[in-house]
Amino acid sequence: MPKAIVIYGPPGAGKGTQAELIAKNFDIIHFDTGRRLRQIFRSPEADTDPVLEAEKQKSNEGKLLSGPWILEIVSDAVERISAAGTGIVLSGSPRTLFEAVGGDGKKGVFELLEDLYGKENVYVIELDISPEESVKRNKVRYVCSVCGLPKLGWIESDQCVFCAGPFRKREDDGASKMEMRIQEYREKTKPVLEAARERGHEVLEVDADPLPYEVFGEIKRKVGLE
Amino acid sequence: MKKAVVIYGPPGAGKGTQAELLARNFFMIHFESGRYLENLLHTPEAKKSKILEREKSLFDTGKLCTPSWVLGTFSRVVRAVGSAGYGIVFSGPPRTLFEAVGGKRQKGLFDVLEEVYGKKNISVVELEVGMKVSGKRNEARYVCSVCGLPRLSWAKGARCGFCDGALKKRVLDDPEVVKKRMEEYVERTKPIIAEVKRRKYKYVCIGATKRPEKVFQDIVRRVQLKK
Repeated sequence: MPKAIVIYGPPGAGKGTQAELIAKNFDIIHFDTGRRLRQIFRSPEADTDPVLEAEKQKSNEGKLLSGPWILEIVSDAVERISAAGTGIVLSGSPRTLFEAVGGDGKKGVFELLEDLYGKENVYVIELDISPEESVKRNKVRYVCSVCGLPKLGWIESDQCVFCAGPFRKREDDGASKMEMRIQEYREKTKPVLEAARERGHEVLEVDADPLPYEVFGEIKRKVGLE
Repeated sequence: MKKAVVIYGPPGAGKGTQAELLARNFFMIHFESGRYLENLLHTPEAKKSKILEREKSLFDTGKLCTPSWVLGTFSRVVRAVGSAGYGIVFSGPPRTLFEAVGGKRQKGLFDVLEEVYGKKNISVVELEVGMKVSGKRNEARYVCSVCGLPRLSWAKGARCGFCDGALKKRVLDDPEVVKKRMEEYVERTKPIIAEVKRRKYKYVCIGATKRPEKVFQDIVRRVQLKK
């Protein structure tokens, strides 16, 4: 039976990396909400459809997008991916309590995953990173401007070791900003994880301080991926 | 509109790297066929199916898996990826004319791509590198044992730049094996490219001796992918 995995973790914990490692090693599709939104905003329809136009504008201005609209997009992806007979790993969604549990007659993402994959096949993971490691990782936050791979600590080159693209500093850098993002994560995610527990899911805590492939090993063990 | 991109090129041309770059920059899935088969044949379920057991023993002893089974498996993946709403990138298949156009009782991969993505959304990219560059790249080739990503030859360190996993050399990249792969590539790809032209898919040839990111820019421009 295919699995549905939802990964949480503060900035720098490596959510995207772990989601990609899962997708690369199992028959599981990584649904990255941010990537999907960028694709939608690039499509020709984004300039003709009034709803898309309005959301695109909000996104450009850095404003919060409409909850029901995002929920619709994530739900559509979850339905399609499960209909394809494939597992799913979500990194970054559901982000808000509304996305998680729904409202106004709309099913939340957790309920949808339970309906489509079966409650026992839904796994919620929280990557846990120590304050020291977080400070260390967020001090050097370079990513490749072409492929988006993060620059791991030991890399000396100023070019990406995968595609030779130039590294760039992440815009949301800076110690105080980072603290704000971590704070924001705690405030927003806590109620979402609480909602997951209320629905009967165990939140699997995984220590994200070790190297990415070691963290991946721990996730495989806890989720029972083989 | 969802797109399907099929990449060809001799060993060391950077097919896998370009496919990864496409997947990372557009809403596409890079279908790594070798990894997929290996993973599929080593799941616990594989032990319960006679067919999968048969294919597993072929795979594990380095023999070719049954072509009709491989084509059926790949076709199922294309349909699943398409219905999940994603574009798809191939960095190897269809490798034979049979895989490309099928047989009497089976649709080819190109037919399935047409059905799922529509003829006008299929692009075929051929990466060109000389023998010298190809040989050199294969000599220095390491891939990660955990995530499978390759490492550029000039990069230092024994760990993967993405997940820090240990790097390994592939048996496929042994100089003698590479020479054979190179000859095979030319022989089996020729008729497929002829078929691509006959079907009038978008077909572009791209010089691939430059750095990966530069080659990628060329692909995006020539295939007219919208950033």
